[in-house]
Amino acid sequence: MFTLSATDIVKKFKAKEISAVEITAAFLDRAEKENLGSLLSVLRTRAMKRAKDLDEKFLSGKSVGALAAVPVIIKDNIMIDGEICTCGSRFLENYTATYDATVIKDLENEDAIIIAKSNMDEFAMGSSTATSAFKRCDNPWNTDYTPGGSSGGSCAAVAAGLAPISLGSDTGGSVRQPAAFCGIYGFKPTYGRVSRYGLVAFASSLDQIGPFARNIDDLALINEVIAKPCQKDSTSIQTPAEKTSKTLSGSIKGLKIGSPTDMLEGLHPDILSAYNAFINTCKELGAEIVNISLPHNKYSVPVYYILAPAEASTNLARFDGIRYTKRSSNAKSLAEVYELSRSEGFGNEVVQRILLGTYVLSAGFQDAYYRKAQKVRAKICEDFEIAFKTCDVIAFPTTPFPAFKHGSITDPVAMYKQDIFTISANMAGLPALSIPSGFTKEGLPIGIQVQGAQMEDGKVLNVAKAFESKTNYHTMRPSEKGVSL
Amino acid sequence: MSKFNSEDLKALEKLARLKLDINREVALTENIQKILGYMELLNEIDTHDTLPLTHVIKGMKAPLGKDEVSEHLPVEKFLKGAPARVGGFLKVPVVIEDKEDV
Amino acid sequence: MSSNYGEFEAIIGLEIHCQLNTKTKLFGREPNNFGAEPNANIGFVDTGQPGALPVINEEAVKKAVRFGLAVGGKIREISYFDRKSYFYPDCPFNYQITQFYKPIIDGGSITCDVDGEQMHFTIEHTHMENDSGKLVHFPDFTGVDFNRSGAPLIEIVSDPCIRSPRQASAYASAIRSILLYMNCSDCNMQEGHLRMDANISVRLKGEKELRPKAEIKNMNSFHNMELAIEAEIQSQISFYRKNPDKRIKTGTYRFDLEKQKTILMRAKETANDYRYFPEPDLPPLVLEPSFIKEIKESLPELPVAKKERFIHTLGLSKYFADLLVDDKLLCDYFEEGQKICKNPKAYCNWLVVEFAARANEINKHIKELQIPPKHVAELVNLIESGRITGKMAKEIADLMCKNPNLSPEAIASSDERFKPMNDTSALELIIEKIVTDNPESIADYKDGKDKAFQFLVGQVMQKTKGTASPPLVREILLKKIGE
Repeated sequence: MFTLSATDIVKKFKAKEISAVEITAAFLDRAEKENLGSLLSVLRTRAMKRAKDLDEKFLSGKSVGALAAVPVIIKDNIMIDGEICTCGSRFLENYTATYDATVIKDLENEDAIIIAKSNMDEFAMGSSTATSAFKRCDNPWNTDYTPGGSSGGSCAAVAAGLAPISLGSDTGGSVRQPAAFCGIYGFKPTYGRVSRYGLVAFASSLDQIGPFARNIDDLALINEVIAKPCQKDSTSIQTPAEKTSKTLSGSIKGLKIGSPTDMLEGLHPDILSAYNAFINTCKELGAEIVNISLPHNKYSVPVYYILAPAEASTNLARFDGIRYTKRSSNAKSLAEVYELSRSEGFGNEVVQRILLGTYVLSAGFQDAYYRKAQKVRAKICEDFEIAFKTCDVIAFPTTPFPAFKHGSITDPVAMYKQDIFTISANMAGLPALSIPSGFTKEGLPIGIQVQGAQMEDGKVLNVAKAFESKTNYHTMRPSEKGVSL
Repeated sequence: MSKFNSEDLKALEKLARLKLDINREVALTENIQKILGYMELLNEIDTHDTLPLTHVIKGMKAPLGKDEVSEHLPVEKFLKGAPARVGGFLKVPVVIEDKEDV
Repeated sequence: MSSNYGEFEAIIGLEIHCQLNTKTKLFGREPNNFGAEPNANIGFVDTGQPGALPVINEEAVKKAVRFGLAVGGKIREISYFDRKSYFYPDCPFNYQITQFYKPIIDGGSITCDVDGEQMHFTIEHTHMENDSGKLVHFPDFTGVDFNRSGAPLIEIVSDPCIRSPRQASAYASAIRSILLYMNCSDCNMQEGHLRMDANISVRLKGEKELRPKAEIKNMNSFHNMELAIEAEIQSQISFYRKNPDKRIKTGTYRFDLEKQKTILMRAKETANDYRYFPEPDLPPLVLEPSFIKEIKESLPELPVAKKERFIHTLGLSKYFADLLVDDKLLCDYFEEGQKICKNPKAYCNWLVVEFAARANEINKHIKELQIPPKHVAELVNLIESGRITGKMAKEIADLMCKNPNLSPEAIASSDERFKPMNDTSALELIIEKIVTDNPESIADYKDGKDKAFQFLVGQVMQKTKGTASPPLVREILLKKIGE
């Protein structure tokens, strides 16, 4: 059952081969026993109730949704009314959400069953899930390695079969990088395509909620469910989205794929090989490879580490010990409520980024840093506009290196440079997908990323559908040594 | 620009309402120095005639919401997880400072 | 308060914060009304719940545009919002969403009467921003109430063109009047709908440069504002007279009503770094020309235009025109009834003198008498048509106050006292006798002395104990004289 795809579960449920209660109970049991560190809370009561209601609804003859009975795992920075939402932080350890995020409503309207909240880097700041205040998350392919981050929990859970699909959030690669590290699909839609209402903001102009799945049909299905206009998010795209579960032809004949060859230096040799193989497969499928250049991509990391912390420093200002976070028991004055609560509540990476963000916005520095970064961001966007004149999509590796061992990267700049290939899609608001495309000699997964122009989400997903027809990387599962049954 | 130092860090702590112990401060100062050093890379590019970009989807406009009540957060739900409350009020230590002195 | 400061002149700029009277908050669709139990009217956006996002209130934008058009400002077709960072318990995000770089309205001006003189003041800009919650101070804790948090504000920033407390008051009053008539705000001063900050500096007359300024914040009455500004001006002048080569330190003050002086709250050197930057959750506010045009075409009548119309078209005196327009409730009442009234001047008089006096006696506003405006209009119409006399009307007015749902027509027709002497034949006899008894007056009248005629009318009214209808009396009298 745990290797069933979402589409298969829906089929079996509708065919009355299995009930929602049975599916849900099985997945809940498995979730509660997991030892990967991918989950922070299992929502047994909520899930069982919804499963029971769904079975009743179905038996009474009413129609059911596109995700009927499918178990879904949600990153713990997305609000579910009445459930704890920690964002991976001690500061929000006891915070109960007061409303449902739009994506939760979307999923539950299609009768999905949310079974758990997943582990993450604290407030989505990190690339390894190591900054989670609660526990370490392991890569199911090799538990000595990180699953990536910040959506490491959601990703590892799907890779390990704890659910067929899950949601993460992607600000600089936090869905795509773990997907590459864990050998599954991770998609960041066009900015504004999926509502951010109910997603705890990290960097508002970069954040997008994105799905994880083990095959492209599942990914396209969950994407269709959540990629909708939202009236509560002013940055939501108001035009209807493509029905990606129905519009993927699976053919990339004649598709022009841009290859930025000047970005391929210094790659891990296995990743370079996987990339070349990917390109060849696409050629075999009838695509045309076009050389392109993204000259400003090398600046994307410093730009990101100015803009994202700047926005984050204000987005995290509301966590202040006053209304809904923990409050320091040592605080006597108002000033201490703020200072002590925040210093005790936030971990080091979060503090670092808040301080950095405050610095780049402060008087005397805003021009040199923040405004400069906004200008370079404009130049990065221009690169893509030029590139998309000669190609339809762009392909390059998701990460320069595969998954790394827990604790092996301590230099902050080295850690930040992990995001060199993923950040540009957030900078330019482009849809981007990490496609399982091979393994290193040590057996660690490799992901190749396809990016499209704004609003061309379907085109990007379609490349994966075509690639899937010729390869079977996406069907491989980690050995069970990482996950107890 | 002179190198980022512990004085700068202390000034930032004030602005960001943080009070860190000396070990954290030392580690952070070092890290931020490194990161800011890396940012110097941006000085390579000439951007004097480029406009700063805030909103990445071209042509996106702020939608206007109809002035009809459709949201309400019941006070009990709001205060359920509050660190301190008195009746319907959220409770904080006596505020004697002015808005901008805190 | 004289604005004679000797060798000095005062330079004053006002920032007026006005709460708009929309149904919902500026960025969230929770209710925009307070005065309820603490935290009874809150939502997700105005309490800064994680993941909540701002969506701009359309009605708030319309009201801001209306105000901008009313003061002749330029409506920016594309304006932007910015985050202003500071930590305070009444601020749910610990940043305010305001418009720092490109506000919705540029410029504008006000013309108003300052102690008999027409003066012109210019507005630098007007921007939109969200209000904060409220802190309530108790002996051993402070309570935070978010009911007001997120209320839509427009901040109207004048140029530093105001030169005296009286001018400041007149300017603020004129702004208030426009906000009321444009239906932007209920402008209830006690509820804090209008809050004023003043920036004040002085300099020697003829001096080109501006000296450092003091800021007095959060004044919510015009009277206190005048006192505060005057106190500050005097304080600065006194300082400069003693220390001609020094300069005051810029700072923020509040006005202590008891001590009648401004008290320093904080010196400007330690001012906050607000770190303004563009609000990423809000794309640009784009106003189509058709949107602005529609608002322009349905703009309510401006108070200044209304006063002009009352004076030139309706024939009211300037005194009464001012009186009416300065009290919107009264003005609305007047205009409602005036629609059916034949004599606006008389109607105004009845309203503002007679009925207002009766309301005053029982400590009420005329609107609280609950008399429908058309009833007052009917009363005046009855006098005009000769159906009743002025004397009768006063008694009817008393009865109307006691029974607000009775129309004057109903009262008049059900009471013997109010039947005018319309019996023409009886009246003719009385008039004939008076004509016969007063030959000198007749002669005087024929000589061109109108006073004589009035005397004769008076005689008739006396004889009929005021019950005769004056128009009828005049008619018959003229006839008899002519014979």
